[in-house]
Formats: sequence, C-alpha cells, structure tokens
Amino acid sequence: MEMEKTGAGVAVLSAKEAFEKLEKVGEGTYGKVYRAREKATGKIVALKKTRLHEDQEGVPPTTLREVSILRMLSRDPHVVRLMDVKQGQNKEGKTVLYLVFEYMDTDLKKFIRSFRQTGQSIPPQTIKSLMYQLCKGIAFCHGHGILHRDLKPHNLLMDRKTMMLKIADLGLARAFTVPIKKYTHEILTLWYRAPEVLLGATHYSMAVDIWSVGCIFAELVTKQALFAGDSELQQLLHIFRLLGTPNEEVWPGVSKLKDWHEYPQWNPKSLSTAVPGLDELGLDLLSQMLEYEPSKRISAKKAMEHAYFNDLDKGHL
Amino acid sequence: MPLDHHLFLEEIKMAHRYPKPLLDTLYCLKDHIHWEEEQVEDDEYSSSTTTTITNTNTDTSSVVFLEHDLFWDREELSSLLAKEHQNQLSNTLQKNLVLASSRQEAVEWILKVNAHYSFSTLTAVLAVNYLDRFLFSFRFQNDSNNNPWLTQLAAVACLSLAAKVEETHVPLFVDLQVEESKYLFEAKAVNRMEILVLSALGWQMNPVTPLSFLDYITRKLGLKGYLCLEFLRRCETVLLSVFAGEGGRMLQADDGGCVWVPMRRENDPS
Repeated sequence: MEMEKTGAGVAVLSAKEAFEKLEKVGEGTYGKVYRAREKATGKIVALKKTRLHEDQEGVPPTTLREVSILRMLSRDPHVVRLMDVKQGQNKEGKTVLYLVFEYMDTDLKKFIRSFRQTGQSIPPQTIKSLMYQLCKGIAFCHGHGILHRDLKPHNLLMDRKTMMLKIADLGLARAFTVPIKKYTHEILTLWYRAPEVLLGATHYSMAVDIWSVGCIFAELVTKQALFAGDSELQQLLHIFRLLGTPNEEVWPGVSKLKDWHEYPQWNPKSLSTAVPGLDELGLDLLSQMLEYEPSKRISAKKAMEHAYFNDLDKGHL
Repeated sequence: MPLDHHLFLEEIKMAHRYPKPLLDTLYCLKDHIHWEEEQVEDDEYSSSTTTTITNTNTDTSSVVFLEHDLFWDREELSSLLAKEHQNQLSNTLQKNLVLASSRQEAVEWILKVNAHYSFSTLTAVLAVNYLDRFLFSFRFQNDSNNNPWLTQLAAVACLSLAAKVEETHVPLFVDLQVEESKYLFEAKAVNRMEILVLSALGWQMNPVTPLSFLDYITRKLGLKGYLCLEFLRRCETVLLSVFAGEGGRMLQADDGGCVWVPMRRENDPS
C-alpha cells in the first residue's frame, strides 16, 4: 500500500524506494532509528521505523502521540522537526510506518560522555547556551500545553558544529489540560524523575519537566548524573541526602502522597557541594529548578529570564 | 487573583464557536460560583452542598492545581481560535441524508462506549472530531453511500485513536465494540481503518475542541478544587448533550440554585 499525498490520488514513492538507509543509529521508544539519504534530494534524514502488526492493536499510542504532538510543535527551532510520515511494507509484506526527521549528528548524552573521557570540563558559556536552548524549547512545549515527561540527555539532540540543541522523543509526551488527570505512574527515566512522581503523585504537571531540566543542568557541569539511583527508593534517598528529607513545612502535602513512608532524616546540604564549579547565579537557578514543592518550582519561561543568562548572546538562539 | 470582568467578557465574545446554551450555562454558573464563595467565606456548608460534593464522588484533596498551571501565554485564546478549523460538515450532511443518518448512529455509538468505559469527555470529543473530519474528506463521502458499514468502522477506529491519545488504558479492538451495533469488525479491519483515518487527518490528533476553550476559561476564572470540577462537569454534560443532538431538554442543577435554560438543537457539533 502506498500513501496518497492528495485526494486526487497521486501516488508517491514508498518509503523504501524514497530513501537509502545508511546505518542504524539507535533504538527509539518503539522501534529502530536509521540515518538515511533521501534519494530525490540527497538530504540526510533520520528514519524512525515502527512496525504495525495487523493482527494486533493498530498504531501504538506512543507513535500516535509523538506524531500528533510534533505536528503541533514543529515550528519551534528547539524541537526536532518531523518532516513526513510514510507508510510502507517490509520484506515480509507487513505494514511499516516511517517517521522522517531532520538528522542531528549527536545527542547530549554522547556530548557529555566525550568530555568525561577527555577529562575536560564543558566550557561555561557552552553550558549556558545549551541550557538556554533547553529552557526555550520546554517553554514552547509548555506554552502549547505539552508535557514531555521523559527529558534526559539522550533525548536532547545536538548539532556539533552549530551547538544547536533540539528536544526529541516525544513518545511519552502528553497534551496537558485542566483538571490534571490521572496519568500512568512509571513514566520518567528514573534519574531525571521528579520527587512527586517517585512518591506516587499521578496528578502532576509541567513541574516534572523542570525537575528533569535541573538534573540535566547539574550533569552538564559535573559530567555525572546528579541523582543516580537504581531503584525508586534509592532515587528518593539520593535526592533526600542532598536536598534534605522533605516535611510538611518545606513541602505542604508531601506526607499525604500515596507512596510516602518514614525516611531517614537528612538535613539539606548546599548545592555547591554536589555541583562544584557552578557560579552563584547558576546555583540559584538550579535551586529553583530543584524546588521540592512543584508549585514553587520555577517555570521554563521564568528560567529564561533568570540573571544566569544575562551575559549570554541570545541573538542566534 | 481577582477576575478582570471586562477582559473576561471581551474574551468570551471571541469564543464565538461556543453553542449558545453553553454561554447561558456559564452565566448561571457564575451566580452559582458566587453563592459557593459566600458559603466558603462563612465557613459553613449547607446540607445540599455536602450532598453535591458527595455526588461528584471526587476527593478534592487529590486535585492539585498549581498556580502557574493556571496561567499560560497571553496570546493563548487567539492561538486557539487561529488553530480552530472550519467545520463544513453541516452542509455536507444536508445534501447527503444517508451519511447524516449513519453519522448520527455512529456518534451515538461513540457516546455509549465512552460512557461504558468511563472514558473522559475529551476522549468522546476527540473521537467525534476525528469522525467528522474524516467524513468530510473527499474520498469517504462517495464510498459511504454504497457501504453504510464504513461509517461504523470509521467510528470504531476514531474512538480507538481517541482513547490512545487520551486514555491510560485502551481496550482491545474487539472489546471496544461493546454496545449494540449491526456490525462487528475484526482487529485487522480496524487496524487498516486507523491508518486510513490518520492519513486523511494528516496525523493531527490534538485539535482545538470546545474543551480547549473550557480549559482556558476555567483558568481565567481562577476556579480551583471542587469549583473547578463542578464547573467542568456541568459544561461537559452540556457538550455531550449537544453532541447527542437532543434538543429542548431541561437540565436541573443538583442544588436547585441554578436552573439551566432549554437547549436547542445545534447544527454544528463542535
């Protein structure tokens, strides 16, 4: 089956004929990702492949949400651009969907790892530029009522030459409406998961993305994950050891959350102990991103206005 | 935050796609809201208020509305209006009575299944939106005359897609077809219809709907907790009634403090 581009019935090349696969570059949320060349234009793209099992339940919700949400967001320069959706068949005659994305040559995870391997620090102005772009992209998503819910370095694509950063992998993203509905619990990658999610809140919102942004910010400075737990409990304990065990005074309502228990009592430590090398303004911004109480956590839009970014040349961002 | 009445009224005029009964409903609810606020200020609750709270079966403490969740971009309303698509289905239905009839059956079926699974109102609104946009697409209109079952198959696909976008648990294709219908489609057929619908709609599955405006108005009014839920519950009831196409119904408010006006049949479901 070939997808018709217009109602008049003009057929276009199937995905297989239109693109030359060059190499597999990864596994996405629901399938493989290839670097490919569009034969007609010579343009390099990323193809994200999703197989549809005709005897099963149709288009996966993650693919459906990702495509629909990207169709809403694709005009922001800091969200990866979805160029097309093509339908084709694989060797066994099964229906396959190809999402055609602009190609980005690396991601933040690889970028950070490359600095860790050489022992160098990422230059402060580079960190500032990347963080500004991230806040801008997230502000755009939130301004359109979209939660990402899986922000992590691997999902932030980069172009090494231009140092442009783009938000990707919106397969877990959600259109956000009031009242906030019950969402599934096991969503965010553990290291970047907000404490309210870890404590069982299902009515969560934009603040969960900001927590993830804060964790990424710290990781850019230290080149190590800020809170690297290997279970939900360990993740919480990592957070509490640094920020202090929360109570009703610092976070009204925390003890009523579904998964709240008694925890060891730690006093908060200074963020500078965990993130040495970040200046005062950066530490202030980070502390506002890692605020326990979700309603007090800084918004992405306000973060862009923080004094930490004052000396950044924003003209090209 | 105090309500800016003038700004609010100016903006409400821009929301011209609201059905008239909804605007009347808003007027009534406004009075009701004041009454509720007085009760809260007096720190007293009448028995009818208590009953109403119980009836909504909602634990208000589990509803968390963050301050900055309530205020998005200032251009938001104009953005919603700009994104809204013209719905030209009314004209098509007037010329094609067979399609109008099968569409009505399909919408009724969607609403029944939605209620059966306790899906959200947004799921129902999305499903009807997809169905209408699909019915309007060029190729489908011709096919539907010869194959009335196609509209029902489209309805199953549209409800499935809406549930995938909006719900956390989506029933299997076969389980989705719970209400009486002339046809029962196998998974393979629904699967293919899903792809057809998605292609026809350009994969744009988060359209602006009446609920988008409700969302905005709720935040503008600064409604929180129980008031927000009650407001939305009533508006959603009105919307579902409009979709069901029933006219001339009186809806009695639970507390008797507000009687909703008679409704008229709306040509434009969204």
